[in-house]
Amino acid sequence: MAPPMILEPPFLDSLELVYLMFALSGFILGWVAQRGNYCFVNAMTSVFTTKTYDRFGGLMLLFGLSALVPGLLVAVGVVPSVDQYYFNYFGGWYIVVGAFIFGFGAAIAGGCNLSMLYRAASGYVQNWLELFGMMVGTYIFATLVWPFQLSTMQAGLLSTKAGGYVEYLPYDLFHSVSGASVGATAVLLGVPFILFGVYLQRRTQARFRAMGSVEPVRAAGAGGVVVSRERESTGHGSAVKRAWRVLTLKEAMGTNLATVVLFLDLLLVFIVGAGYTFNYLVITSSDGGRFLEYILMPFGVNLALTTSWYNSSLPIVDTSVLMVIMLIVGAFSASYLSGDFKIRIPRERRRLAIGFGGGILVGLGVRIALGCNVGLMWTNFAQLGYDGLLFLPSMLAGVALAVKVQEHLL
Amino acid sequence: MNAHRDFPLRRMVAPIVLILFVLGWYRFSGAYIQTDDASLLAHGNYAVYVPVQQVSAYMQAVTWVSYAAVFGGLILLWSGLVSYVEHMERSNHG
Repeated sequence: MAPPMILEPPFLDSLELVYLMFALSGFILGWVAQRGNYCFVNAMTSVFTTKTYDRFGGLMLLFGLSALVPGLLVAVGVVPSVDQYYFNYFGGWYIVVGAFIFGFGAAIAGGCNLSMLYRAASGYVQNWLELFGMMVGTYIFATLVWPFQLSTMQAGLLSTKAGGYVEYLPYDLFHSVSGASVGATAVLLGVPFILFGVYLQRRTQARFRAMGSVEPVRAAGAGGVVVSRERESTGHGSAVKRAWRVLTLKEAMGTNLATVVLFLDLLLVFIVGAGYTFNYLVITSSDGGRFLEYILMPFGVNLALTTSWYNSSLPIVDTSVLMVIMLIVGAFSASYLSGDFKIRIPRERRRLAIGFGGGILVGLGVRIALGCNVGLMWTNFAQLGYDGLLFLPSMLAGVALAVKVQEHLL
Repeated sequence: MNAHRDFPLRRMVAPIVLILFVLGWYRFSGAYIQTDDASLLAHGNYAVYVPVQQVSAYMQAVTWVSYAAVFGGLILLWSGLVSYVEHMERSNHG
C-alpha cells in the first residue's frame, strides 16, 4: 500500500501563528547569517581559492544536523512522516543543470540566495543588482525555459514526476515510511555529513596551527564583494564572555555558532510548520519570482494571469513571503545595530554589471533546479530526500568553474 | 558645521527607511495581494489562488509584524537622535 499523501498537523497551531513563526524564522535567518557572514558560495569558493575547509565543514555540519534531528523527531513520532515527505519536489536533470548554473552565477555575482539578501540589506549595492538580475532571470526562465522543461518532466525524461514519498529516502531504501526506517535513514545520511564536517574543520585548524596562524585565512568574498572584516568570536576567553560579546554585537558569530543557530531555526519551522507547510522551498521564488510579480502589480500587470510558470507554480502569497521580508529586516537590524550598515558601491564599476549578469544566471539556475541552496539543498536534507545530494556537487562544480573564470577573465 | 558632517547620517536615515519599507509592505499587501488573489479566483486560476483564510492569516501576521518593526524602527531612530544630540553637545563644548 502506498504511503499516505494527506498532511497531518501534529499541533493545532492557528494559521496566524504559523505565519508569525515563519516571520520570526526569517528574522533569525537574516540576523544570524549577517552576524556570521554565512554564505554558501563563500564556503565553497574558499575550498578552491585558499584551500580552507572550515566554512565548508560548517555547511556539512548544517546539512548533517538538518538530516539527523528532524529525522529522529519523525522516528519517535513527534512529527508524522507524511509532513516530512509531502513537499519533496521532483528530481531530475534540471537539478544538476540548474545547480551548476546557479553555483556559477552566484559565485561571480557575489552571493548565494541567502547572502545576496542579507548583504543587500546591509547596503551592498552589487547584491541589489544581483537581486534585480535574479528577477529578470526568473522572467526569462518563465517565458523561455519552463515550457520546454515542463514537457521533459511530464515525459519523465531523466526526471521523476512524483515527488512526495517516491523521493523520500526511507521509502527508497526500505520501502517503508515507518519510524524505524526514517530513523535509520536519518542516521545513515546525517552522521557521515557531521563527521565529514568535523574532519574538514579539524584538518584546516591543524594546518594553520602548523603554520603558526591562530585563525584560518578567510577567502575574499565571492564575486569580488569585499565583505567587512569584523573580529569573529574565537576560542579565546571564557564561553560566557564570548557569548556576551556576540550577544552585544561586539563580535561576529563564529561559523559553528551560526551553524547551530541556523539549524535550530530550521527546526523551529520544521516543528511549527509541520502539517501546514514545512519548506523554505519558495524562498527563491519569493525574492526572484514574486518580487517581480509584486513590482508589476501596481502597474496593472498580473503575471499570475498572463505568464507561464507564474500562472501555475507560484501561489500569490505564502509563508515564505513573510520569511523573506523578515530576513531582510533581520539582516538590516543586525548590520545597523552592529555599526556595519553602510551603502557600499564597488570601486570597480564593472562589478555592478557582473553582479547583475550573475543575478540573471542565479534566477535562471534556481528556477531550472526548482529551488536554491536554501530552499532545495538545505531543506531537502531535512526532508530526507535526495535532491540536496544532487544539488551539492553540481553547485560545487559551478562555483569551481566561476573561480577559474574569475582568475583568468574577470 | 563640521560636527554635522562627522556624525554618520545613516544612523538616523536607516531606521526611517526600515519604517517606510515595512509600512509600504503592509499597504501593498492590503491593496494588491488581496485584490489580485480575488482576480485569480474570478479567472478560475486555482493553481496559484490562495484560499481567503490563508490570505487573512497572512494579513493578520503582517499587521503584527509591522507593529513590531515600526516600534523597533522608532526606538532605533530615537537612539540615533540621542546620539546625534550627544555628539553635537560634545562638539560644542570640546
